[in-house]
Amino acid sequence: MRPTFASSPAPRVVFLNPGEATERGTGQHWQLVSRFMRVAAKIFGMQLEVLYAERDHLLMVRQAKEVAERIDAPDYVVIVNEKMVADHMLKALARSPAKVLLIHNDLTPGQRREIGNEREGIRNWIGTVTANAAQAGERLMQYLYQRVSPRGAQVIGITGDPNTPVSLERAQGVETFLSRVPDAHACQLVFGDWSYADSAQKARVLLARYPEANVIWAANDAMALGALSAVEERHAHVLVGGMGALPEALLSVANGGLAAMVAGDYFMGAWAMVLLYDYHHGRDFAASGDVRLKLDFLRVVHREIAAQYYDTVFTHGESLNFALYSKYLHPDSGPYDFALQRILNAIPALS
Amino acid sequence: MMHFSPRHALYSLSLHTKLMLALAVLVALVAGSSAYVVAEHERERRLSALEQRAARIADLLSHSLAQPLWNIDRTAIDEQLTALAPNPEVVEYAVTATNYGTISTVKGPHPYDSNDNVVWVRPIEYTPPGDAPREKIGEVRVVLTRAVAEQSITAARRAILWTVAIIVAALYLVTFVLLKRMVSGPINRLEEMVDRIAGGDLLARCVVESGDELGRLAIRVNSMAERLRQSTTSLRENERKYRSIVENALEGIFLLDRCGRLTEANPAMAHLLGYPNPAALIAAGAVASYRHPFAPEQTAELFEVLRARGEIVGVELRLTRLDGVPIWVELNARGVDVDGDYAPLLEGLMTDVTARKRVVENLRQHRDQLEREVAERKRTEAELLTSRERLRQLSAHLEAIREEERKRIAMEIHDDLGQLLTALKMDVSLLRMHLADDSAALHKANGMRELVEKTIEIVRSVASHLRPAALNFGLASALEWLAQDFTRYTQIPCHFHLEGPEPRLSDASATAIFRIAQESLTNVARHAHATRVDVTLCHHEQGVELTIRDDGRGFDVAAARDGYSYGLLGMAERARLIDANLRFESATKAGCVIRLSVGATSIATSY
Repeated sequence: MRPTFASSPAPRVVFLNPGEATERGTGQHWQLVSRFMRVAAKIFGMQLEVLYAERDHLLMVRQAKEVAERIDAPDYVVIVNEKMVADHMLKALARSPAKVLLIHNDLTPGQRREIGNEREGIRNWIGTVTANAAQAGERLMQYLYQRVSPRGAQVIGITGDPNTPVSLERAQGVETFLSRVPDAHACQLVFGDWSYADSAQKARVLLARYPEANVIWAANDAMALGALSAVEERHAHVLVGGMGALPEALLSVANGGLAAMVAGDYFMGAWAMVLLYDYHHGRDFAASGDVRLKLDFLRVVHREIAAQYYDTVFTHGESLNFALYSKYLHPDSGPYDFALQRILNAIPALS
Repeated sequence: MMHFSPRHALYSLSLHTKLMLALAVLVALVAGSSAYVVAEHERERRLSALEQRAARIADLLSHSLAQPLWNIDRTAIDEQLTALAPNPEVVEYAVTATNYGTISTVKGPHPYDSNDNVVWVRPIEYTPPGDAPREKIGEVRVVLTRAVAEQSITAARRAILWTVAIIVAALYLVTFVLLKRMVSGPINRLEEMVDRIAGGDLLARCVVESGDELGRLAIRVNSMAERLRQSTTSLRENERKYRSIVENALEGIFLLDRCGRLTEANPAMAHLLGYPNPAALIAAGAVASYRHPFAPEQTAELFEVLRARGEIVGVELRLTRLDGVPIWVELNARGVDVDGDYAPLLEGLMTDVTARKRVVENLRQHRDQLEREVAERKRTEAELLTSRERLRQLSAHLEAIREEERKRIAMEIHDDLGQLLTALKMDVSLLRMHLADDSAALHKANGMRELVEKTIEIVRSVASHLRPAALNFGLASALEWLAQDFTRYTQIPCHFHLEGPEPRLSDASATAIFRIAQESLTNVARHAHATRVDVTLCHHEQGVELTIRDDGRGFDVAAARDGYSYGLLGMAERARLIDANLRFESATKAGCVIRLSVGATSIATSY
């Protein structure tokens, strides 16, 4: 069921996407975020303008300034704390009448100490939405652990760069699970640069360093695939899992290469559109939780459901109905529930 | 044909050239070896520095790569290795992971040459957070080449060599000029002056040009020339003096060789042998085939004595004068060495001792006569001594006989005459009982009895004086009796003291001591005018001592002896017979002490 809208002018949203407009080797993640945002915008009748920073955070700050200086300012600006420049962008946008929503990467405590929290120092910064990466890490490790039971898990972790909070959060979730289970042990956690080649190199050395390891997890698709290539080189009996669930990784899962991927990160833009839609219509998300939302929606996609997930999300992605999550359209009193199950209801066992 | 050996060539070089040659060799040796040592040291230092650098780099990388290797950050590892790679010495840096293999290799500018490399391998260890142990996660291999160091060493060696060569050349040049100016010139001038002095020009003097060794040498040469001049003058003066002494000497002075030839003689020598002058004497010797003035046997004997003793002292020889008169001479001589040949010449002094010889002969005759007389006198003295000893023995014998006789007479008087008189006294007493009282006969009888008693008294006294009976009871008793008797007869108090135990003496000794005491007391009574006499007999370990001490007018002991006092002589003789020592101590108006000491040995032997 599609919502029907009043005759009021459609709210205009600008998304300052840190990624590339077309895929040039850093993965499809940011394109997918824009893609599902557009799907949502279409559903909610909102105007979405996406400005790609092409992985250039300085360009991104300039884009924020440009948006802030627009005479015909948008209603909402969605930004990302990529390379820790969100505080500059927030300061730039503070001059604008547009409301700002921060997604995906939260401000660091240091940044918050400097500029304050939402709706405080910078009044038009209305909220922050992030995924619960720790929970995702914990879920992935739980799945991989079950797969290697009863042998116990000897785990090698390859996470992203230590300056990006999400890479630490994902690792933290893994640690939390491993500390709970007596026969699981973390051999080593290394920091990578999110790339395939680096991960492959690290995995090769780590597999030599820890011949007893039977599980590798990686903090994104490229690194998971890189680690998998190292495992295959050595013909090692090691399960490889990761976070991201981009098409290539999903295909690998489906083909029995990767053991599992944690999926859903790229829906963050769509969730932002849901919240802005509700906010625009007087239903402030702060009333259903907090101005800072840490959403637990990421789920493990394993071999059994990989093909189906792929089909639903990537082949027929335009038909995903994000209106299900709007509290303006579907009023209820509880907090927002962005469970993937609700839009992927064709998939039987999304864990 | 001229022949130059290297040694001869070296010998004939000038001092300047020799010094320069020595300096050149020395400096070349020192500089060469120093340069070699410095270059070697430099080489060692650089190679050691290279080793240290390699070790430092390896250490540094092993620390700094721990974290990147732990996290397998190849980029970081590559960056670190690349940062250190541009050094021209670097051949290669390689990082390997444990169980894996090489992770990163960075080649340096220098191509790989396995022969000349310094290779350091260090483990890379990681300390995980918490209390986990250190873990070796890989190794870093640092390969540096020695070639660069060797190149710079070669360059340094060349630089050192050139520097040393330039310094040596400069040093040589400077020394050459300095030596030429400061040594060779002055030495040549000195040489010239010394030649002049050697040529007899004792007034020639060197010019002192500096205060260094050459200047001092010039001063010394001048001083030597001056001393030479002085000593030549003094030598001449001395020669003149000694010649005069020889010429004017009263002794004959001569020089004689082994063949008997006189080579030198002074006028006194010629005069001694009756020649007008030394030349005549020497000529006469030559004419007599050197058998004059010394006969060949005399010459041989003199050289023999000289050989045996090293000198000839006081040898007397009989020579013959020119006029045939024999003379005696006393000769003192020493050998004179000529060219190391021991004593080919005899240098002698000769004195005419003919007159002395005659006097000595006379003296010897007198001495012989005196010796004969002395022998005669000694014989006579010995006879006299024997005679005196016999007289003393006789005297002692006579004394013994006399004492024995006295003893016998005293006993007979005492025993026989005493008994008869006692019997007579008893008879008179019996007779008186038969006489009427108050009769003339009774009175007569009483008179008789008194006479008899007086006679008995006299007999006893005579006997006692001949030989006191007390002497039979020991010397102490006899002396005690003598003191009492002296007191009684002279009214001079005489006290006898005995100190120590009573001595046990032979009869002869006791009698002699008693008689000496008796004679002493007689002298006191006759001459002393004493008011008290003390007789002390002292017996101790050393022997017996009798002391008679009076407080009379004393006497001159020496005068009394010289005056042949028979009393004193008798006492002395008695003392001598018993080996006793008799001493008189007296002075005018100071009393007299007579001490008689008999030694313990004399007492013992006299038993």
